Amino acid sequence: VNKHTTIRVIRGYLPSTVLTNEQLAPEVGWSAAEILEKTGIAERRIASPEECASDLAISATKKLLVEANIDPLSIELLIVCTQTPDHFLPSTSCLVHAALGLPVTCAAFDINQGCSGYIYALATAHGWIAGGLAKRGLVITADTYTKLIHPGDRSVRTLFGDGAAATLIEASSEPGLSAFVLGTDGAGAGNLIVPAGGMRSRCHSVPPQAGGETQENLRSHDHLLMNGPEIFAFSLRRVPELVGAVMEAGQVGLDAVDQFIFHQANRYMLNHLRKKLRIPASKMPMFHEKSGNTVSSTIPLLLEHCIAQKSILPGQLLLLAGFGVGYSWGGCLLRWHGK
Amino acid sequence: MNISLSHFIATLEIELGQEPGTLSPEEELSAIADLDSIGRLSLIALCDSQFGFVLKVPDLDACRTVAELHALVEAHATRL
Repeated sequence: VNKHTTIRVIRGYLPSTVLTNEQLAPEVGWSAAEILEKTGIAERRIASPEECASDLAISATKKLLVEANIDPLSIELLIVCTQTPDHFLPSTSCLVHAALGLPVTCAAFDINQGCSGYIYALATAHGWIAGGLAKRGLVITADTYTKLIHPGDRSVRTLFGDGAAATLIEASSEPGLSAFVLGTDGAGAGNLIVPAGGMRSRCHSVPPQAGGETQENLRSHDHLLMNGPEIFAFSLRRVPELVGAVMEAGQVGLDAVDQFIFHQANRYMLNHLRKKLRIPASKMPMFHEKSGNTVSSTIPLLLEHCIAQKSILPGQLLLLAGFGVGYSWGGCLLRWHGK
Repeated sequence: MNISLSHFIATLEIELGQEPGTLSPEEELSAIADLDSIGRLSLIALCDSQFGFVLKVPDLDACRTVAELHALVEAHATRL
């Protein structure tokens, strides 16, 4: 059994429909420039009505398999992280498994996590491979949050976009993924939630009403509800502790980390966290201006972008951190050896 | 920690992008136009960066006026 695992390849996929700030401005009551200033986001991608999480996941993974020349029959583990599955059942991973022609010996399951989901899925794949249950696995993140958003809720409409990413993880002779730290505070569950749709409340028939902490956003229980100030306060409390815990687990200091790869919630939050943690801007790349907050896909999309730009280089030590809905958070170190 | 009311109000005005002298201790928070959801994030960020603590949202919600907010910040601040 090889105890080491690493990420070999990452490929992302964004749906083709673009929603710009200029298009959004008349509907949300802010100018395009104000949206950009407040969020750091200029445009986001929107899945078409027929396009679901599995479609985005399949597109990202096909790209990975073709471009990295990976035989689908060599995949022994498939994890799909999504909070917007095609169906209640079967799991989205089964749909993806069939579409990609993966072998029947491949284990496949979903993880229901949001902004921390990439780290949770990596930790799970790492555990399977390090424990000898598989040698090569796919972690796919895919969400279509925009289907959950009421058009009149500017607090979330400006932030979220749809997208997916596929990550190939393998057993490795040298350390790649390490120092996983995961955590939960379910007391924050109500601060980022779609109240209806599950078994607790299958369908909410009450029409949308003004809501949110300042009564400025329109939504019903069928829609995504975000208490922005609570999520922001949670992040300020939790993320510095998470970063400290990952560095302690990996026995490294701040200076040893080459890049801090955080969940791309929005520019305002990231800049505040960066200053609080005293991380130089050059060590905290951002990638959300053209994609928005794609939930569990923001970290792999950022990694793919930085690797393509050669701002992440082989041998560099990266600290990955995801945090949000749940509340849930996770972090780890990644020594980049991939392509 | 002792934070003067005038210093707090001046800091708040800068954070919310208001002209100096705009806010008074009796000003109701609900009447401050810039204290929308983004403004509330700014307030949480201000308390964290300037006064060294993460403001609890229910505590913020319980404040009615600028003076009450000042008392809350003064009670929790760990630095000036």
